Amino acid sequence: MSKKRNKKLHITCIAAFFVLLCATVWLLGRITQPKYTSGVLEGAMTQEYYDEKYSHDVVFVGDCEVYENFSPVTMWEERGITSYIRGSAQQLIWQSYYLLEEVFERESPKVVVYNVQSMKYSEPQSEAYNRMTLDGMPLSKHKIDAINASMTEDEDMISYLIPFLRYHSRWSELTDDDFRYAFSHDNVTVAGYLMRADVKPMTKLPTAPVLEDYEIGERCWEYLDKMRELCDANGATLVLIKSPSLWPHWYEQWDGQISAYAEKYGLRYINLLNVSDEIGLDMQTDTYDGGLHLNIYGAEKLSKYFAGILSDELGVPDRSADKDIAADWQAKSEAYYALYNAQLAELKEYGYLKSWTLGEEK
Amino acid sequence: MLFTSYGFIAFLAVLFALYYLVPRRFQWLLLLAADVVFYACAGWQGLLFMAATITVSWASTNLMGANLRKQKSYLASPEGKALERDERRAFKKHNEKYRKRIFILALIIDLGILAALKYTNFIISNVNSVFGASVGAVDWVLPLGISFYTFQTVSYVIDVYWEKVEPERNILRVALFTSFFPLLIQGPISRFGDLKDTLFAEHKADFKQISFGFQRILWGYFKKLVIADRLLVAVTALCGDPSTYTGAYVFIGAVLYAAELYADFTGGIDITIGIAQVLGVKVQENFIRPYFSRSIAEYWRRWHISMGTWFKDYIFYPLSVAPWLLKLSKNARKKISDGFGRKLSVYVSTIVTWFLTGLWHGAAWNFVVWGLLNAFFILLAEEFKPVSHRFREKHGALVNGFCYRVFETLRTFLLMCSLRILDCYRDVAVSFRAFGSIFTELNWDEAFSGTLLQLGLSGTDYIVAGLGVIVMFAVSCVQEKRGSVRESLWEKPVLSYAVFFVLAVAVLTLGAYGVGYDASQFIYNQF
Amino acid sequence: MKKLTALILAALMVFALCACSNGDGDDGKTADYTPDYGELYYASGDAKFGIMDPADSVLSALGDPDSTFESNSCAYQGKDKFYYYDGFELLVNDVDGTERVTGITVADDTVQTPQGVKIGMSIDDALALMEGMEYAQAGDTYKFTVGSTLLRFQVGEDNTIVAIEYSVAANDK
Repeated sequence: MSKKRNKKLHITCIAAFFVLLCATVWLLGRITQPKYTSGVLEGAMTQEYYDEKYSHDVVFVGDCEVYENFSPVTMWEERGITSYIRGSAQQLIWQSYYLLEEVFERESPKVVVYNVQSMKYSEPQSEAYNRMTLDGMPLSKHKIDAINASMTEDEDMISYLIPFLRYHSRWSELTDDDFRYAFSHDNVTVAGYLMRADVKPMTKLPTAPVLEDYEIGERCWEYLDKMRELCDANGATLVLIKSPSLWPHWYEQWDGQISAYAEKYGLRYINLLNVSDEIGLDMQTDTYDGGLHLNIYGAEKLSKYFAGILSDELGVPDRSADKDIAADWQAKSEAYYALYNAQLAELKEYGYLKSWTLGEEK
Repeated sequence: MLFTSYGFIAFLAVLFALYYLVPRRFQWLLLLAADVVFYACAGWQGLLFMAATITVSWASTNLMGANLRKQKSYLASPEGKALERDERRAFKKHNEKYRKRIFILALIIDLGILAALKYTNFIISNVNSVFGASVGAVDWVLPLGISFYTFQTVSYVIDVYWEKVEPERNILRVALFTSFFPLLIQGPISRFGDLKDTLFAEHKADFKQISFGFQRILWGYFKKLVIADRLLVAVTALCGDPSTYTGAYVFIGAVLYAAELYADFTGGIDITIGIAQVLGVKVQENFIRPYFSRSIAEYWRRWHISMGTWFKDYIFYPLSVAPWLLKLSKNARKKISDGFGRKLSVYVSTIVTWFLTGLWHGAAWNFVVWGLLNAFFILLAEEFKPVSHRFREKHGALVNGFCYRVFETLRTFLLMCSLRILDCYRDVAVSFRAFGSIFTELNWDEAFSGTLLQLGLSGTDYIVAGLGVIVMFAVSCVQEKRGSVRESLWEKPVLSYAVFFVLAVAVLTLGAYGVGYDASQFIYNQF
Repeated sequence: MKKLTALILAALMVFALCACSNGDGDDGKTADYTPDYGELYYASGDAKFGIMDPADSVLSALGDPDSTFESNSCAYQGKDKFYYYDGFELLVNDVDGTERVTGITVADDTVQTPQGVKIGMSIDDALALMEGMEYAQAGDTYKFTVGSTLLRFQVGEDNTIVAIEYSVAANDK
């Protein structure tokens, strides 16, 4: 073989090497990325937003205290409100902010509801939660910014951009689901609401721990400012809430600071802990984990109550007359009840939710 | 910056691209800038110590060089030629003395920095235990690769003193030689004479060399990430709990450690040499398949070669011809016996060399004992050489047979594994006890009843590491028989890139990197 | 010949180590973590315990709790287990695979610390009871640290103690 031809062949091979390597890494990344189809479902939530066909008048952002406690289907049924919950496990305020940036790029909600529980964290917390929140976002400036804001010390941007670098070690534990859902997904939520139909009554709550510092971190305020400005710029009303979950403890000192902020900027801050009775919450029946999160019964009560505020006080319109939107919500509603019935069936059969939990017996 | 970090890979990518974009006369300066960046990432204090070492070696070698030039030109001048023989000798001696003073001062400073930073705590703890004192340990940062760059510098200073190389006048070049980043982590400890031409030369992008370099880097990552870092988990668990893991576990631990250390160290060297090759810099090999050695002496000619030759050239040889030792040897021949006297100088030189080799590996008694045991076995083999020769002559057919070769190889391997136990446990008494338990506690059944799966490695991990070792072994066999694997694949590009594609996918998939794995450093970093 | 050499040496080493292993006994496992809380332990009845003690032994020494509370974090990323006893609460977490006591909170004024500090007591009296142990004050919190244990007294407006809590010093936030 002539030297020149040999070199040409080498260059072709190198090109093929890199193309194939990139394709393989991408494909393996799709396969090895956790699918969160059973047990831990929270990681599958972020991506579901992008399937939404119609825009929403209300968008919730926050952590488990929104995606477990509010039911958009109930708010639709009650007041014809179209809403979506962009929440995920321990979603930190900067993550909520960047998810919201993305929302405003796609639609124009009238009301944005932010649950302030996550204001207690002013530093990146956990890689696992970061992954559950961020992996589902499509590549964009918002995603890059969210990753930069969220990374803990040991994390690298590159492994977010090339997920195989993070998940390669799962090769030995792959299941059928990893292949089945490599390029598709089934929804685990209904409009962002993660349903739980089981009940675990509240017993005694622990004494609230002493904190070193009750000041909410500077970084949280910075992002709350950004969130407020973003809403202003997009003509949306920002509403701050504290969901009526009883644990982890919500300190008076925190409440005072949020109230002062709301007052300063003319925002509405609703501490729903103070109106639990009005909502009709009964922590003997309305929580699935002893007061941390609401179950479907609690979520429906809270959603009915909150739908009233949205509609009566914040002027969120009733969209039930719009046929297309109504049809879309009809489908959501059906999925909601199907899910509810499926959970009831499992509760009856096993005494606990087998497919929606890691399986511990209650 | 760890060799296995994303940051390092990005650093390399930028460096490689810039290296062939900048005018070639600036390539070496770019490398120096890269060294500074690389070294600064490990802490700026390290840079100060290195700068001190560089300045001392540059100044001392140039002072010695200038003096030598002056001496030579004076002696060549009519005035010098007119001198009497005795006067010439006196003049030379005077200058030599001057150079010696500079030389010793340079050695004291260079080695003093190393000794102070690395051995102060060792000395304090020994003083405390001997005299019952309670001197507090110091908390000094050990600059990255200090043992490696100090040894490189010292070899340069010695070579200039011995007039083996010309002193480099440009301090930046001395700085590049001292700090060339691929060598900083774990060697090879290179000589100025070997490195200067290739390091400071202008390099045209050579397609084949660059390709080979990348292939070698990939191979290094395979060894390091797929085999070494995986096995490290089990080795750490076994060595970390010597009171539980005795008997069979010690043996298994020693064998796993042999595989892990080899994969780690040679993997690192592959990455080092690969990086240098991409940059067009030729670095000497540091390993020639040492586990194929048939004797301990051969092993040390094939394992960490640059360290072995360093100690041989700068400690063993000078020591064995040192006047005081020759005198001692002469006296011993007279007063004790001829045989003993003749061997004395070799014995003393070997023991001192290995004592220092041990100490170089770490400031701890386990390394000293390890070094002395190496000396012991080497000298023992030397003692038995005549018997061995007779045996070989008598049983030529047997000795040259495959089985005997395998036996010798295996014996050497196991002996080195046994010595390395001192390195595993880092404690002399614990190491000896552990070694003893191999023979006294026959708990092989227990070891293979699932305990090995509780060391942090799953069955799959053992299989992956095992397959990795088999691949490594197969490649070594091919190299031993046919030479470079890359060279033989070069003429078959499709096959070649297919092989390296599989290797790349294997590294990315099976490599122990990223979250969930401890970012483990190359074992030899610490030396 | 070299084989013989190796055998002799192996035998020598075995001999040497047999000598070593006589009488030295168990030199202790390093794998297990032993908490160091000095005087900052807590006592209830006959049970004495402190931060980072293995939960098993503490719970069995204390007997059945009055009640318990489990706080699951979202998406199964850890669990806080609370055990309620008369006058105090224990927090138990998984620390590197072992359940350990990571918090002791005095819940009311029916109990006191081994030094005699109680809720409702004035901080000056409490500091006197701590017998000159070094502390740091940050706002209305007084902190004592020994090893991995942090003991905190929080005082209310009238300078009386409103909360007494032992926690892991490293996680002091």
